[in-house]
Amino acid sequence: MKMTIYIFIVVLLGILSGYYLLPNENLGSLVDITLTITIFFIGIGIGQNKHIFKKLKQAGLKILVLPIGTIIGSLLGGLLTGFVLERSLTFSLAIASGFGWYSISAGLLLPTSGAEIATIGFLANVFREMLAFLIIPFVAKKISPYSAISVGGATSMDTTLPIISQSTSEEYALISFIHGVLLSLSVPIFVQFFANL
Amino acid sequence: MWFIYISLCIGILIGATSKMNKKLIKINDVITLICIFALLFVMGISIGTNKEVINNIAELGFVALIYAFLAILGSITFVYIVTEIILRGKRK
Repeated sequence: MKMTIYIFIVVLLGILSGYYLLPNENLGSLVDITLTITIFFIGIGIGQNKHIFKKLKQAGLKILVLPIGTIIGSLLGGLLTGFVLERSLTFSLAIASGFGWYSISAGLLLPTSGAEIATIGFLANVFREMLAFLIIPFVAKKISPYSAISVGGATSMDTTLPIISQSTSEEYALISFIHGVLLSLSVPIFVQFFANL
Repeated sequence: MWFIYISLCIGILIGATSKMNKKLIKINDVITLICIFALLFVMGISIGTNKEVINNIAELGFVALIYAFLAILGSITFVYIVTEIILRGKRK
């Protein structure tokens, strides 16, 4: 939760500086550069977890059922929102493709879809993470541990992992981690795809 | 933005092929965190320069909440259905 507060403060400081100090700057290329560097270091972090690749081989294709289910379920939710609120369906799919990873998904949306969609995408994915914190214990107990993991989306490998692990068991924690890695890897692919449709 | 994929692939390759000790992993985590904060700050600036977005922030926030809620609901439901069918019996 502490992290979420820091993130809000940093974004707010950015918004205030943009609003009052640099109202006429165009920082599109700066966003691109920062995003590319960030993704590079995230890649190193993912590559370091060599046991993931081993576990993936051991578990076989069945382990893909859960992440694919989360992807399709999230996209259906995005589509439904687009219908209900009468908003562009491709942008709705792009927003839902953040799977809770707000920094990268909003960074990807900004250059392709503009500030309004990027803001919605950022907030929607922040809210997804916050709601996930609140409901994962309930979903794990009353519905299923797999559904609980899917709520976290891409965050099931880091920020929501402790809660998932606490509300289920160690075995599910590993599944949750692998699920989060695969979801994270799919974020750039899906966001870019739908934003450019 | 193809360079995102290239950047990610090179990162994963370096991470997977190099033997990093605990200290280096920690340093990489810290650099990643600094980068994410830098990205969020620059994004904040871009949002702040857009007056239309700032003036409608409450409405955009509400829209975002619906997206978050329905995406979660979609995931819970769909995953429940598929895992019950395909992974049935594997639950412990």
